[in-house]
Amino acid sequence: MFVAVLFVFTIFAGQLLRIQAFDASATQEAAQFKRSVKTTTPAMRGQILDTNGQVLADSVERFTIAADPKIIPEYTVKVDGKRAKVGVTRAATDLAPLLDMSTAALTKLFTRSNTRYVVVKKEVNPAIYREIRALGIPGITGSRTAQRIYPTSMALGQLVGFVRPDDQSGAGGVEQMLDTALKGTPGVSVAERARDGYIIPGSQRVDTPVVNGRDVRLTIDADLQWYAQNALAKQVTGVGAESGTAVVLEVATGKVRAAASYPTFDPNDLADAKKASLGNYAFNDAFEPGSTGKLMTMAAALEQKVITPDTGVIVPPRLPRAGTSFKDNEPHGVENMTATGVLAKSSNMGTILIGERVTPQVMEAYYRKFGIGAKTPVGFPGESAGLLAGAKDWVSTRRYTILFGQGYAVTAIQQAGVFQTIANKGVRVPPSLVEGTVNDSGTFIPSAATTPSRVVSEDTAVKLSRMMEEVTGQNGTASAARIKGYRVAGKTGTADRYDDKLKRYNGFTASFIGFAPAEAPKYVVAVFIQKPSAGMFGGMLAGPVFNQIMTYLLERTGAPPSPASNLDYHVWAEKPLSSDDPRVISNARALRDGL
Amino acid sequence: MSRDPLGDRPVLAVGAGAGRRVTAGTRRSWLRVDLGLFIGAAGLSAVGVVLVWSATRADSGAAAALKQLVALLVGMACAAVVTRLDVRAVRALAPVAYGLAVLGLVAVVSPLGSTVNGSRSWIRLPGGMTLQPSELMKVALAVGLAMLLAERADRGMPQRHRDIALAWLVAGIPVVLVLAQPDLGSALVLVAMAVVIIAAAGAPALWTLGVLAAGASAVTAAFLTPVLSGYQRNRLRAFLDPSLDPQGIGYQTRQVRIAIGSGGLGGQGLFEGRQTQGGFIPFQETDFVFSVAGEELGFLGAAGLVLLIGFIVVRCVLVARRADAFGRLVAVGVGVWFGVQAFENIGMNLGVMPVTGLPLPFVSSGGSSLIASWVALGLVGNVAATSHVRSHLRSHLR
Repeated sequence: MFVAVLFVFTIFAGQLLRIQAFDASATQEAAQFKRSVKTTTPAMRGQILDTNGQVLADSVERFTIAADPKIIPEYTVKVDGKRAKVGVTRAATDLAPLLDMSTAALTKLFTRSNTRYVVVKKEVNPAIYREIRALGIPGITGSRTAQRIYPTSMALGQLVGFVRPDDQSGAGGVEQMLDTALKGTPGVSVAERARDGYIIPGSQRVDTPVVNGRDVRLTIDADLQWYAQNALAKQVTGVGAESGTAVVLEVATGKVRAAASYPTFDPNDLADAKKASLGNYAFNDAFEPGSTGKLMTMAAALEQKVITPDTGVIVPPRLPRAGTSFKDNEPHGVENMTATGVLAKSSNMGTILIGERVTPQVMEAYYRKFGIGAKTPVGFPGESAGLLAGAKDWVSTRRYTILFGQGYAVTAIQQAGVFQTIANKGVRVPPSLVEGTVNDSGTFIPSAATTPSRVVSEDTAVKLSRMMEEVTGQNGTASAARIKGYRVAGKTGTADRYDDKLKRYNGFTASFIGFAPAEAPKYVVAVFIQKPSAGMFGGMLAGPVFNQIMTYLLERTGAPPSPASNLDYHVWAEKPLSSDDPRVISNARALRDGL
Repeated sequence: MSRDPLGDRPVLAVGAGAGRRVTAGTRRSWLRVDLGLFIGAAGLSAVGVVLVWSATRADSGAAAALKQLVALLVGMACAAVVTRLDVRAVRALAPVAYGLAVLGLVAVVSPLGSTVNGSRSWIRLPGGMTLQPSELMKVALAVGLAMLLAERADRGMPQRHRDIALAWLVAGIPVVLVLAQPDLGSALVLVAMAVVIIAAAGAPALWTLGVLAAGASAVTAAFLTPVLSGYQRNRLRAFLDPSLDPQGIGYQTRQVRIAIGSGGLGGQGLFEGRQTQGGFIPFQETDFVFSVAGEELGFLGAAGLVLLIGFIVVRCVLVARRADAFGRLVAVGVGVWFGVQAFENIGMNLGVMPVTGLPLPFVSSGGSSLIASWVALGLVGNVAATSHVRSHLRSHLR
């Protein structure tokens, strides 16, 4: 008996040793493989803030609820003090109010055959998820996800952009542009799952810690953007236009304070968004600027000493060039204007007569210095570089149309930059959109400022600015842009719009770009209305929007009313001009000079 | 065996309380009780409570462990009472206990019983308690057979065929009832107890051999004919090849193997066993509580459990050696019970025995089993104390 007992227990000890010592590692590996689950904890995406710290995009914790139809029938609850198996029906009844789904729909999910994973609901908020966990229904699991929330919705949709709902990666706008900083690093942890699907307590092991994304602060002023967006949207719908943009640049810094774009979308609800409106027209839409481009022609002519603001210009009724007869918007006889008048009345022929006195090479160099034909350093997703042909290709009519803003393409941001340069006394500060990012220790790190460059002399800029004031003056094209008490410098634009789909010109681009108070401008406001169906002129269509935004800005900054200018420029020549006068610009002189 | 046929007379005298000197010497001091047996069993039971806690805490917190603890205290109290009982009282009570246990078994098979996991082994009592009469039967069989066979054995007379036949009838009734539940494991334990007790009582070898032969042919028949229920046959098949149905019958065995294999030398730590805490093993607090020890306490813990149980079994055998015929048969019966049951239970945990639902004595969750084990332990303690007194007296008489 004694021997038998000893024998038996020796066998047991041997078998124990065999299982636990010799075969142990293989068994353990098999076991871990069976039980362990890799969980990816999504990193919380950084916030996008406006320049004042207002939240434009935020991430919140959410849960995706999934079910294992094989285990749910095990659902057991206490009924009258006894544990009873209640299964699918009760699970569906208990979950229905929490998930805001019908019992029938849940029952259908829970009874799906041949699967052990059914997604029940996404984006369930954590409080609800905790209540669901408390029910203790076996086979119901939740995985942590994040949801992106855009408090400013439509007003900044096309600027802030959006994320892909499935993986929360930036897919448009600033979300895409700054995705690297915003996204963070998801954490990976390995845990072991119990038979009923829940994590075995104490079994988690973190492989990669979660690093949440960094917050970024934009140069955008959300209040201003909201205001601009509203004013723009009202006008675009009011005149039946295809689209529109309104850009506000800070003169001294080139910072983009607003980049409204319409039609837009609500990034909170991508289902309703149209593909065409997912981008931001201010950065992505390249178009021929029209008369606002005359600013560069004038700047070059002033800088090259071709003209002074008072230089007389004899504008004929028609101007034959490159086999074509150029004309102005309104038919007129021979007019005796000043260079200021050419700009104020937006005379195409006058501009040609002035601009052709600067060689294409020099003119192109000015355009390029103004930032035309090159992407801004913003690097907005889908941003266009515009299009500007090299001087050697300025042939035929293009040689002349380029001078008055046709035959090359710009973005709204680029064109606003031209005006920023003039407003900033000739120094261009390339636009920027990001104020800075918050680093891992919570410190705000400002973005490197863009490099300013002088395009024209201060003298040229001041004179040109004063000339632009006449645009909103008595004889100018943009009385609608006038603001009482302030000197407003600006330029209208009414361009033929090239339709990429139709491969021909169709409709117009009506624009107004300007700044106020002209003697000490803080902001440039640029408004573009694309393909309006009622009206066509920039002064009439874009001017009022400019007026509203600029008035808002002037009121907000408390700018003091403008003093009278000490420069006295005129639109019309004070004395009759003679084409024989060597200082007067005329077609006769052009012919004499062999242009 | 040369036993003094008068050996039990002084014992009776002690029981009657005659003689001053005798009274002094026979005072049933707790020190006279086989302390090692009790300490071993107490240790085993304590480990059991903790393992049950660990196995059930994910589902029910400390409730199951508390229930087990209450049962343990009740069992220990019963054991204390039984230890102090007069041996004649034990003999007198034996038929009563046997009768009650048989009644219980009948009740279980009747509509009074409730079915758990394919076996009709429990009676529900009011207040959420359950009773497993087959556990009581083990105690009853040990004292019943001992009472029946002790008289002739004590006198050194060979057992008559008539007595042996009666003994087998006494053993056979509960075995059949238990098989009807069906509870193959308990039936095997009862048969093993009967075989050893009857043989130890001096039954002719022919009887023992005959019964063993009958048992062997019954097992063979069980495998070859549809005598066993499908559920029992599946268990046997799964034992032979666990990979037959990894989600079904082989599941348990595989999970148990994984759990014990994960333990290593020192175990994963109490409450840290992944298999255990994850609830991968059905019945891990009852039939497979050894796997919890294997996973969480490792080789050292599991081997310690084996050693403790081995110690208790060996101790029972040692007590039997010094005892009179009745005591010897009781102690042997209890020893066989613990030994066979532990062997089968640990054996199935280690994958060397087929899975039959048997608790590990003192360790597995289950009040009936725990209390019955402690009562049995009390009986062995009683026997030990009595033999102690007897040898004491004998030395005085000399």
